[in-house]
Amino acid sequence: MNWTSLRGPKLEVPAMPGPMAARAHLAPAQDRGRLAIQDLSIAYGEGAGRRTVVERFSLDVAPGEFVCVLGPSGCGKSTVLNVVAGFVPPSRGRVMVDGEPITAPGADRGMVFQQATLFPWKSVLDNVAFGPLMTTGSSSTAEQTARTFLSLVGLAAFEKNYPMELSGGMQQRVGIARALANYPRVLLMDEPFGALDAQTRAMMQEALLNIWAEFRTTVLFITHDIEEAIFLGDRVVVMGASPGRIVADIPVDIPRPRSPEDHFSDAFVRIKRECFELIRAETMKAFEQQSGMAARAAG
Amino acid sequence: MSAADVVEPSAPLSRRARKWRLGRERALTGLTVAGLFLAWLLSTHYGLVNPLFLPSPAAVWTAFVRTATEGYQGSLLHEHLLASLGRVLTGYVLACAIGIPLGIVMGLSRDVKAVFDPVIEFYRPLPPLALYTLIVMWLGIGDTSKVALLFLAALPPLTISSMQAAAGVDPRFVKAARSLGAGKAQLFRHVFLPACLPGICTGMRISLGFTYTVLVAAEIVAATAGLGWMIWDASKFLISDVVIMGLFVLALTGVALDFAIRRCERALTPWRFR
Amino acid sequence: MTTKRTSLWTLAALAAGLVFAAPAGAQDKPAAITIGYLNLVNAQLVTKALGLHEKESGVPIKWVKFGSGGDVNRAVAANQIDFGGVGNPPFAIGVTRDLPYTGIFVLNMLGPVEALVVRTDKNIKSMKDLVGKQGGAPFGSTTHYLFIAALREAGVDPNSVKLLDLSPSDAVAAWMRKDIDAAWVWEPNLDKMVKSGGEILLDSGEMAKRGYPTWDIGVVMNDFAKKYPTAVAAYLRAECAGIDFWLKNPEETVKLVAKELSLPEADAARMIKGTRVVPCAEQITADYLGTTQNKGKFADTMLATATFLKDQGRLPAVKSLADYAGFIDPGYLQKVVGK
Repeated sequence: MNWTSLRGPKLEVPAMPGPMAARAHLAPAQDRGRLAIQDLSIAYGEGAGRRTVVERFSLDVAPGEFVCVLGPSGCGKSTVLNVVAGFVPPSRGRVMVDGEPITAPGADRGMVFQQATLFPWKSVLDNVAFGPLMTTGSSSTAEQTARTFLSLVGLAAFEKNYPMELSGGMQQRVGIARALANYPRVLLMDEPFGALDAQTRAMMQEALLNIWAEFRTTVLFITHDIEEAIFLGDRVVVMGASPGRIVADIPVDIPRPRSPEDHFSDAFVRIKRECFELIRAETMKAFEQQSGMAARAAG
Repeated sequence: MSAADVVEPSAPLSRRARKWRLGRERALTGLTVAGLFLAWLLSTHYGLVNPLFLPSPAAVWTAFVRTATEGYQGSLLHEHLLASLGRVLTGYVLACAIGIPLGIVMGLSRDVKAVFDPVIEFYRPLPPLALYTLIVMWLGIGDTSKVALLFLAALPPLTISSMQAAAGVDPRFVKAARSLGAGKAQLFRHVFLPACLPGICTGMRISLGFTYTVLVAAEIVAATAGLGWMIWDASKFLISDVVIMGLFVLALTGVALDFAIRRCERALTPWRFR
Repeated sequence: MTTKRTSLWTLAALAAGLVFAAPAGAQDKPAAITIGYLNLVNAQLVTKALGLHEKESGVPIKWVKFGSGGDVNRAVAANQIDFGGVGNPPFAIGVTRDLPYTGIFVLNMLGPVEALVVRTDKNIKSMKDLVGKQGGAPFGSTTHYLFIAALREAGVDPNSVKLLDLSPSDAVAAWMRKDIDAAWVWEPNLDKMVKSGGEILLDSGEMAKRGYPTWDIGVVMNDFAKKYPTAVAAYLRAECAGIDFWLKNPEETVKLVAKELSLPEADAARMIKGTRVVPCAEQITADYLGTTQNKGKFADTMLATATFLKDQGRLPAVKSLADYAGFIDPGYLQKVVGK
């Protein structure tokens, strides 16, 4: 897909952020979108009931890098994402984007949720235009940007429809376009394809890689699906549970652009086995801990 | 029975099947109306019921024409209708103007809810007529007390549904909007308000319907015009053709009002009707 | 309040055309008797206070209070009472509309117990002074009828006075708030207005002298009378005993009425004086019901009242004198007094 072909004939080029800024990201990003998570701990509750959800989590993501965080459910991977998004304050440690510490949610970190959370009262176009409208205040600029990104996700024909009229996969594509329309430094994706059926999910993974190839932004992608993590990521960060922490950081040395055939490559199968054993060991550990606690409670 | 006869109950209907289904529903509705009318016509024609209790369709029609052209007790039918609609809409619009913002604030702040909730919950179950006696003593026998009663009838459904709508806004929408850079004012206008609208619209519909049912009660004391008063007065003088005619006009007007508010609902929340 | 709610239900029943047939049976005694009584001062209060109906009929009695005769008519239309009381205008309305009831005895002749009260500080000295003022009366009642009759007598167009439909208790509320300057209602509510800045301009006794007699008549539902003639006789024996007591024991009566209406005895005494209760034996003379063969003046009054109401656009047509007389049956009373 050619980026220039997506531009409308009368597309204005606002100074910042605008298509020019996006264009800069088409080349592997150099200095924009560096994510640094340093010694992050998150705990809830007070006194004896205090529970540590995430412990000493450190992660560096280079600009334009696609990092998948893989872990069993309940390992705190979504919590990490919520800290980066600015919804949850860290109990210890710090999170920085391009050297600036995060204090609150902001347009520089685009978020894609498990459910698309599109605003049902806004048309597809207005949903995608929402971010630019908030940041630039101009609805005409916002609409032009929105059209660009709707074309990017292949849904230009549906701009007048309401979200409810779209399928789950289409809704999630709109959700991605909406997050990207703010030209975020980092794209945060919280199991975005978790609610889709297997076929749609495979299609969406390919679509996401195509979009990302056009729009090279830093991505932090949360999933519990091993194959998804390997297929999408430059690195797979495996988390263990109770408390959540990093147990492995595996580089995925499968060349891009990737195709579904890559699922059967030696490299893929090797990483998959490695991840599988790590996850299995973590799940067993968590299971034993729980039954031990249950036994203590019973005894 | 062949396999084709087995229809999945939840199977989505084709366009043609839906059209046919709708046509059948309309036909059934039409049949009911026609059947009731026929029963009315025959029972009065053959003198099966005392005309005092149920006057014939012809008598009711005559009463309609007479009231529309010559009037009932000094006012033409449309004047009675306008007097009533004026009262209902004044009370209703006032209740919307106060009840909806109040409900939203109550939904957002537990403190505000704690202040107003007991007041509304206290008077809400009271029958409007019991309340009316007190209102007449406070506000007199003029239109003020009538509008006040209608206002009080309209208020609870509005505040309660607005409150529930405001309290029930999906936090994920708020989260999404904040991560897209929305500030407090933008959040309210672009997310909060439209998310509340369906609930508020439902409350507005329920409220208007309920307010309308209180109309007769509101016009019992010292009115000289109005549909409710006309029915009340006619029943005092046992003029049952006017009573029945008035009830028809009341019912049809109520249906028209409901239709109008449905149209408003469609215009305000178009995404729910696609 | 109760009466209004009751009337709303009866209105609903009337509108729906629901007719509840009384349970059929050949017993000479009903299971219970429902008496609708008017909220005014007459011998029925004594009958009620002394429990005479319970004694005579031997069945439970349910008393239902009504604000005005219009409300009683509605209850009759909905078949909710066995016995009731109405003034001559509501009776004329009901009869013209063929309500299934019959007048069987005289409750009272209306005198100063019903009166037109006007606000003293408004300097209203004649009916003409009421032009442009706001007045109240329960529509369809004796006082509504007399209010309009008095205006016409004085040559005042009734439409030049803003006349509002107010039950006596609502009229008091409106009076206290100074929403109205005049009201024609009956005791015990009349007194409340006189005591708060009102004076009597005209009363129903005076109107009777001018040719507009008003009275309240006791009625029985036709189906009930057909099914339980002995219960009707028992009812009349009790009412006549009450009337006798009222006439023979004025002091005791004052006490009973004062207690029934929660009034000071002095007020009760004055109200009693304003009401004329007719001895049962006298009721079957020409001035009142008359006899089965020769109906009395009540039938004439009904015709006059109906004619008046037709002029007011409240009735579509007037029946013949014989028709009106047919709705009065002195036969039950004749048997009770032994004539």
